Amino acid sequence: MLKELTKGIIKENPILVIMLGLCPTLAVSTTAVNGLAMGVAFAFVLLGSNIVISLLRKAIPDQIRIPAFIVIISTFVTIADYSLKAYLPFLSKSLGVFVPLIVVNCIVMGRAEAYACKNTVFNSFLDAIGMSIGFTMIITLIGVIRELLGNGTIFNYALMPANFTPFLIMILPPGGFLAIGFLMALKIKIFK
Amino acid sequence: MIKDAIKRVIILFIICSVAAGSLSYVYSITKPKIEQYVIDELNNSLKKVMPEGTKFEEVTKSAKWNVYKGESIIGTINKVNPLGYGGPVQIIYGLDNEKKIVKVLIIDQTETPGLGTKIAESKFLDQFIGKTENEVVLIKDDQINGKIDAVTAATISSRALTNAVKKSMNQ
Repeated sequence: MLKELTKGIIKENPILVIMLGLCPTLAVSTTAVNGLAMGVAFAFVLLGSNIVISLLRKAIPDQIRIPAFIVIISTFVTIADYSLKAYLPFLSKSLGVFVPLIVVNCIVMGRAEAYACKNTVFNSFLDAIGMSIGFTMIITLIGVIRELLGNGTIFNYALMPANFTPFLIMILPPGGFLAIGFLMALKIKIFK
Repeated sequence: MIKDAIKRVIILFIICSVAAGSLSYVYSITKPKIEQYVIDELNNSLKKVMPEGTKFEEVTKSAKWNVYKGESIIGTINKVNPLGYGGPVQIIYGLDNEKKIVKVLIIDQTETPGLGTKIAESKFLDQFIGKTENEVVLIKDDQINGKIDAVTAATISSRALTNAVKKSMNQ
């Protein structure tokens, strides 16, 4: 049972191993705060959708499962989007269109289709927690790397010496690909 | 067959109704907060441009405000949204009664990080303070009248901002 929880963190990490949801990962991981916020919004959606979908797994006929999943997922996404806008407007502004785009985040859909609709509520809950930890950890890590190298700060605290010239490329799109590539290589090297 | 189809329709209908219901509930809670935030943010920016103003009267919706200090008009605030290098740049700026710029402020922009975003820094924006319409031109574009030095490596962003401000100054 513990495996359901831990598999998402390293062994089946959604970003580094399953390699789903790379678009939002690359786009919002320019700073550590953005990465973390995206991770939390994502976790909320995945938890909600995994639980509801596994609850309804026997009631939803196979033929209409995809539209049903999309409605359920987009409901949670919209709730997350409005809540962010109302209570954390600054964060909502810097995440921009990528919060509503969690609807089409393939990890959420992937977990619904591959896991939640075939497993018990409790296991789906564990699965969602594990996947969320894995996702949030990696997207925040990418954010930390890109912010540190590209801007000389982490969570807005200046860490680099004053004469440090930031590698601008790290906060531009290519930096996202570089960071994710090196992290994948590192993961393979360590956990082979 | 038909029974199956009807069952599917009903199930999907129930799911959609529950989703719509919960969404409208969340919407009704968050809507006033979101609207309030938009208004607050605008008022804050107006106040930042002309801290002396006590009343801001909207003349043209989201584009022009008359600024009062007590009973007398001390100037106007304009809002323009020119296209920069990476999308629209939202700018507000204040004019005093002699049509000289009091302050320029960027509310929102999506320029290239580290290059175009420098147009939002005071080093660039402070150049506008006290300038008249004729002087608001990049030195690059008009060496005689121009008084605005473009940000290095961000000429397009600088020019978009400068020209948009100039164009709207006499409206």
